[in-house]
Amino acid sequence: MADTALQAVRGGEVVRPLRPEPPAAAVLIAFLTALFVVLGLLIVPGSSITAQPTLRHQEAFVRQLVFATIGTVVAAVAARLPDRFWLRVAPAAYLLAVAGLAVLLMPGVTRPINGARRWFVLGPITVQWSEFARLAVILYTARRAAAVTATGGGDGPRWRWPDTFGCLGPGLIAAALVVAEPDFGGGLLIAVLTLAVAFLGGLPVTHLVALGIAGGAVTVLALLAEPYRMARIVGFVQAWSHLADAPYQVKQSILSFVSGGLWGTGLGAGWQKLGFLPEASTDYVFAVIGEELGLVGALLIIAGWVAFLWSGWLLAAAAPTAFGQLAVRGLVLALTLQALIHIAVVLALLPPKGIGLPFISYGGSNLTASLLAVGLVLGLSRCRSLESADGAAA
Amino acid sequence: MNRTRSWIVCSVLTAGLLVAAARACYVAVRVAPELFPAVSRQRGHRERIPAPLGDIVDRRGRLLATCTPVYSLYANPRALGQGDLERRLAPIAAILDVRPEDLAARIRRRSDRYFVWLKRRLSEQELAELSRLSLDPREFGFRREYQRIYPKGSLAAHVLGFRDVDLEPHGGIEQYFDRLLRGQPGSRYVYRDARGRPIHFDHRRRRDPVPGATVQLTIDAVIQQFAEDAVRNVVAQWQPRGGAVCLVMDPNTGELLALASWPTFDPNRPGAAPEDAWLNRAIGAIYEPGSTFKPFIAAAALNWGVVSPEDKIDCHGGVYRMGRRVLHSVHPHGILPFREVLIRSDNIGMAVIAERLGLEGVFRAVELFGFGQRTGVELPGEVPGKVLPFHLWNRYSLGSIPMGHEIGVTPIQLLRAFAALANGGYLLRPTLVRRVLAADGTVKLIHDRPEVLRRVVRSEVTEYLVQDVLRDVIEAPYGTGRRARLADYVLFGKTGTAQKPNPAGGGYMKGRHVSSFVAGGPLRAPEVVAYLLVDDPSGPGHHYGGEVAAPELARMLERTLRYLRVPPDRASRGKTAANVPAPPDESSARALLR
Repeated sequence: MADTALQAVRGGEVVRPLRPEPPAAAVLIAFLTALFVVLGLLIVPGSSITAQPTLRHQEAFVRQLVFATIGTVVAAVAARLPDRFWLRVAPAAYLLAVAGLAVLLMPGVTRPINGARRWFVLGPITVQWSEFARLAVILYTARRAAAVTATGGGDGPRWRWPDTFGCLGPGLIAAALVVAEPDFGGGLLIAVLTLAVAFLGGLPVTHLVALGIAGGAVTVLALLAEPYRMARIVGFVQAWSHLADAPYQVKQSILSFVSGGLWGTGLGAGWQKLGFLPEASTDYVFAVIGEELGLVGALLIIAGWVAFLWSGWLLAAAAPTAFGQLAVRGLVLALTLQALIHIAVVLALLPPKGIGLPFISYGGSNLTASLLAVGLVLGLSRCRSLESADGAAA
Repeated sequence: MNRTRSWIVCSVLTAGLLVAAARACYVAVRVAPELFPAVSRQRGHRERIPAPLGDIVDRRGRLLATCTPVYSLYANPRALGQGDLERRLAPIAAILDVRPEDLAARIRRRSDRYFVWLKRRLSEQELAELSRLSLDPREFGFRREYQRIYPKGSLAAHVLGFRDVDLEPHGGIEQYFDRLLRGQPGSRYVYRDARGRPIHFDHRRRRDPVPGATVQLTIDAVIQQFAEDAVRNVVAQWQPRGGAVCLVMDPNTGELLALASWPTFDPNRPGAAPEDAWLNRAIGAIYEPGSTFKPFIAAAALNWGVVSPEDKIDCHGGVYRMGRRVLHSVHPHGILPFREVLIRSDNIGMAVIAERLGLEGVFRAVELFGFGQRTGVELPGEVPGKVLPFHLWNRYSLGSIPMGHEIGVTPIQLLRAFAALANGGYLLRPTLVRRVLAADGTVKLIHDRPEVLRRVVRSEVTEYLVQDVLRDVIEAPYGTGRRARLADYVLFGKTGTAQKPNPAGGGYMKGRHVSSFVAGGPLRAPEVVAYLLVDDPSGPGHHYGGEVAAPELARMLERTLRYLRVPPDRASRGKTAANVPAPPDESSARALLR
């Protein structure tokens, strides 16, 4: 199946000349990534205003620095591997990811942290498995979608329901396992990404509508079954404009965000993260950005993500295979969507979900996985396969 | 197809980010103004650094009021939390000698605050023991405050006033010059984290406190002591039911050298004082002055030429009908020379002189000498006295007012008017303050020359009255103030014995008097005038001013003149009028200065 996907491209019209220089979009992505990582390092508690950071703060800073280094190395290695490699390992990666998620749920294997089984504890470090599982799901879904498209023949793909299930099934299984941790936000993110990759890969609109109706019905039933969920949603929507009624962390988040004014208090000079804002360096780091860099800084960060998305999209077009294109778009989507959800939560547009801002939020798994994703994006979008194909022909 | 889908997904996500950007702007512009007060309150606050209070010193720089730093213990209820307070507070409670439950209750009442006092003004021992507990600085702390100290105890209490535990002034110079004495408190900006722990002091936003200014009084602590001794002596001897006042003034400058009012209090322990001790009777109480008022009417009459020193005044043998009223003299006299009307203090003679002045003339004389008007001395609570408006005066007034009845004056008004006689006819504004010096040495206020309100009478008149008439009130064997005669100094003065008006209204109370004596010395160039008033003496004898007040005031003046190193008027051979020999002044002065 893997070979057919590659051959489809080789036989197709998508043959581009080898470019010695990396495209501007790749440079921009690398630059934005570096910028975000450095910003994250400056915002973690270790560089706060207190003249003498506590040992814990210093440790946090060092950890973030260590993971940034590890992630950069991982990304550099990933970027050098050919897309064929990723195509081949995608099923294995997916199986490993699902197995890991299943093991996490087994009683006795891990100790729940804050009531959730999301982490593998390996000595001094904890690994949030779903961060890596997400990447594996994207790669595997991209492979399946590309395969369906490839089997369609010259006059276009012909999706059938089994194709749809085959394409969406693995992703939804992984999503369900993440939801069971419980991590509703993380599971939803994986499900949405699976759907998006399938859609980009050619999932018929009729199937999408049917799935949408089914999903909508399930949602309505779930809401009707537990009236408090409905009340919670209504309450949250009301809080969009009446922040005084919002829950504590939402209020603190908005408070922090606006307290920077237009230009912010300056990097490291924020106060809200010193205990007022819960999870300031992870789930609400964008609020800290608002305080320390002001509205202008926050808008620049959002603009950075728009640039990240568009550069990713441009790079994807350069990917030589359908799998490569889908995987690159899926990964860029994963990072950007995660950022969007994080920002929306901070600005009280979405209910608190516990999703970090890629590259910037404190946390080794998030940082390493995000850097790995960037490495994949840069690697898959290069014409390495063509290069090797040429080599084989000669 | 593929391109379109790719474009759709990219657009949707871009739109999402744009919505987020719009939301960020909305939140920053619309929500920020509403939330900002909450943000700044949460972050930190300005903390006062108290300024040391200015000192109050006497005219020679002796310390009358100062302040010392003292530490007070506070707790941070936010940091302490709620759990198990009694057990954690037990060691503190043991040192402060209170019950742990009381401290815990105090903290629980303010559980949402960052600050609550546990004990103000710790003693040094308490501070030392508490320091040894090594309390968590997030939960407890000591704050440096200032405590007012009056090193000389109750001396000049009514001049000084006092301050409570929050250093709020009550009465006296403390209240009158509060703004200058307080200085400017400084402040520092303290940032706290969510649990109320101070995490940073912003030195750029620190303002250093400006210490309060030093107030130098005109009071001389030694003379003040003499005055208070005099008051104490008359109180011991005569058990006055109403109180007593002693005032000493430099007639040439209007500077008050002493002001004593009894009953008095210790400003270090204001709580222990009796209720009636707060009133400063020298400025805040009005009395009918009695015969001490006569010299002013006489001076006006001489000044305006309605009588002359050579005139003979018919005293009508002690009974004189004025309209429907019959006046009586204590000692009946026939025809007296003008001077003897005053020396013998004949009421009828005085009424006859007043008749020559006329009702309006008496009224003008009363106003001229400043009665019915606040003197403007630097003390809160001064009253203007009680002089009825002219249209309410009647024929009775002509008989009563010249002998110091039907008129209410404050002791300071009376002494000021008397000083005008002693200084050649200038009515001065009495003052208690020589200068106020800010901590940086700048002069905030200075009195380096007397403040003359007006010239009241010609100097020939005052010279005659003082040198001749008022001298013989004391020097003449028939003078009412003969008990004030001193061996070394020649004084001048006037006695006063006023019946107390019935507070129930109408008439006077029999056997209830205000006995007073106003005097000055030395005769040739008066340097000091003084007034002693005893309200309602209860001891044996006739409560004449010449008997109750004159000897004690004379002794006080003698000590004062000696202390001021005024050369004696005559070689010491005559007998001192005072019954008890004066204690050596130098030793008492030294005792005071310890």
